[in-house]
Amino acid sequence: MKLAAATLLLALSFAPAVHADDVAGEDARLRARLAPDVAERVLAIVHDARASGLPTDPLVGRALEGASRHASGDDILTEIRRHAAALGAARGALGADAGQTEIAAGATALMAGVPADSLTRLRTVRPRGSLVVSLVVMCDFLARGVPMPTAAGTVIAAARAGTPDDAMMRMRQRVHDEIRRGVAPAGATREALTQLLRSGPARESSPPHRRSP
Amino acid sequence: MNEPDDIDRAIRDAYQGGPGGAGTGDPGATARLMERVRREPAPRRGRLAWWFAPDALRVSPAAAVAVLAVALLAGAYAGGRLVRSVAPEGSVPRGGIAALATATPPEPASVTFTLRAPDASRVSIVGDFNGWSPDVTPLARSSSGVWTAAVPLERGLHNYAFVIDGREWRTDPAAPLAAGSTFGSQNSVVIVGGGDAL
Repeated sequence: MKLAAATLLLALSFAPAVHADDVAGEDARLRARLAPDVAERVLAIVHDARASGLPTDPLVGRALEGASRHASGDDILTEIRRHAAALGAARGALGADAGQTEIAAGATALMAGVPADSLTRLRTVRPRGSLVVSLVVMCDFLARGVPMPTAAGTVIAAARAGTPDDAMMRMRQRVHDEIRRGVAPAGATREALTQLLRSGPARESSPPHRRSP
Repeated sequence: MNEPDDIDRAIRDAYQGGPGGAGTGDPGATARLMERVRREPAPRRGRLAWWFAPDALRVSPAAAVAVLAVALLAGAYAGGRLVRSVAPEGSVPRGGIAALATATPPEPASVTFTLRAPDASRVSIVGDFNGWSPDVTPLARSSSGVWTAAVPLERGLHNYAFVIDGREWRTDPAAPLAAGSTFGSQNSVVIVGGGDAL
């Protein structure tokens, strides 16, 4: 028992140091890749996001992506501001206890034009378990030309039927395959949902996992 | 539910939050279901009924703790074997690559990315995991023109793209796409870990 307590205390004492290293690493990476004035302004947004408890990895990732794509400083800043706002809106739509990865996925969905109330509805129909896969599938449908109401409605309907993550990914693959065969995106999505509901999604796999704190 | 009109209605209701769409359902449905269950005749008891009938069990706290400890140890042992069998030698199933691991993968998990590009002379992968730097993670070419790289990834959601010959950015045809475009181009998405990991 004493050994366990000592190990726990040791781990807790190192945690702030590890976090500080992560932050310093992020700052250094951004300063190394961006023009000094752009880096400072991006860092200010990143630090604000961190102070608000929002995930910062997506912001750092977008800034570095912009640098690699040779985007202008203004374009990078516009993208980072837009993304930071979407992260905050995603947390508001998904609830205060949403996980960091869920918030990141939700932000991407909002930036693609998914209404915030669709995210809230998705959380309502699936109160336990991660929404990351559902949100990724929703975004993938949109990227492949599925109209918004159909993309969001299909994923919410599938989640409402208790569809586990692996079945949700198989539905995504089915839609992808049908679109490649020339089927219209909306029709492919409708057909995939029909097959999913016919086969009984909730029986295909284990129930949704408990969400991590 | 399987008629086209029903599917369209289900999609529309789910999107608009119509009847049942928000998951709240018919408020009287639960009461009606419970009433129906109450009217169901009691199940008949056969020869094996004794095994399944509820009964009181008197066990001392010490014995209960001992049984619980043995069960937990057995569960931990079996669980460890299960995870190892799902992800042998620390690698997530590759599958194209939309590497969704439903079991908890080791961290970082090795994810294999592949791209068929027989005419390319150089292919690399850029993403959240390598600072989007085209020089960090080159793919190796096979004789059939398929390029491959195994990349250690932390749990979570990662955006990425392939870079062909240092200038052409391309999404992964086997992976989900991130909706919208950042800086005028699309990215692919890989998910590592599932359930509690996300």
